[in-house]
Amino acid sequence: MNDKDVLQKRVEEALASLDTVQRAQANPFLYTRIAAKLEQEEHSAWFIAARWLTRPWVTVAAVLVVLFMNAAVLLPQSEADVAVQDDTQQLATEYTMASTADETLYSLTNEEQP
Amino acid sequence: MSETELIARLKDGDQAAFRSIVEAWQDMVYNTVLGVVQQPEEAEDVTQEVFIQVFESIAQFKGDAKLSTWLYRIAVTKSLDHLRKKKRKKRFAFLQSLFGVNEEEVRQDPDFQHPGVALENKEKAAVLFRAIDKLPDNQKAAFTLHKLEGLSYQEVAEVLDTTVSSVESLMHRAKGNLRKLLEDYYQKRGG
Repeated sequence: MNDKDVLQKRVEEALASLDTVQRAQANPFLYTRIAAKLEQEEHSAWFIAARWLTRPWVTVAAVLVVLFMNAAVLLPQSEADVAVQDDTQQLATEYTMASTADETLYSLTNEEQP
Repeated sequence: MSETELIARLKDGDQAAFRSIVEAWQDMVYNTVLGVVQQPEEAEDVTQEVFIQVFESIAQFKGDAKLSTWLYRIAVTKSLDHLRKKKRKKRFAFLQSLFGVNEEEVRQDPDFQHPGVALENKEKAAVLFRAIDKLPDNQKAAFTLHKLEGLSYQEVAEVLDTTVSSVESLMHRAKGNLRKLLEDYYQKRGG
């Protein structure tokens, strides 16, 4: 048997060393340790905060607050836009002018035609 | 008590059902984690984390796979995450030692001795485990599940959420890499 054969034999033996392996056994007190860890976690501030924040009614309330704040900011703005537009129209009527750019363009093109 | 009944009771927060699950599957999870992590104390910590995740995320278990498949999946993911964190810590400690911040020597783990290996195979198995540790993550997971837990390629495919042909390919590459690593080791040792 040459060196290469010896080497191959050793490699194959190493690869086969796990063929008859038995399952390793966990610590018999594993459950007690897990239960203790879980209890410890349940009393931590982060866990309490996370549990409170992930309740459905808290999530729904948070979404409603965000929607309300958006509405509170956006609604007065659109009312102000309408008020400005009304003032422009009133001024245009008083001076018999076109109130929008489209009307102005229409009147100008009509005037140019013979 | 059937598996479905156990899961339903655990979803209701039943501690006794959780205890039954831990006791029924603790060796299976520990053996898988130990095969990947290769350090008994760390393997026990990771096993605890696996069961804590099971307790906390049982609501997400839809029952489309077997409970054991789900447990293996969590065990493999947690073990590989643990190894990544450990490597990162080692790299950081090495850098610190280079700049003299941390004077402590960066220690190598001693050879891993799996408690289930027969006495006459201990030395060879330790060499093999050292080589397994150098495999890429997916090859390491497939090889450990197949060799240490005795799962079929079909079962390994279900755990790794892949196809049987992918597992066959992973195992082929894993064995090829292990042969190379073992050859190098024995050649350096002088035959």
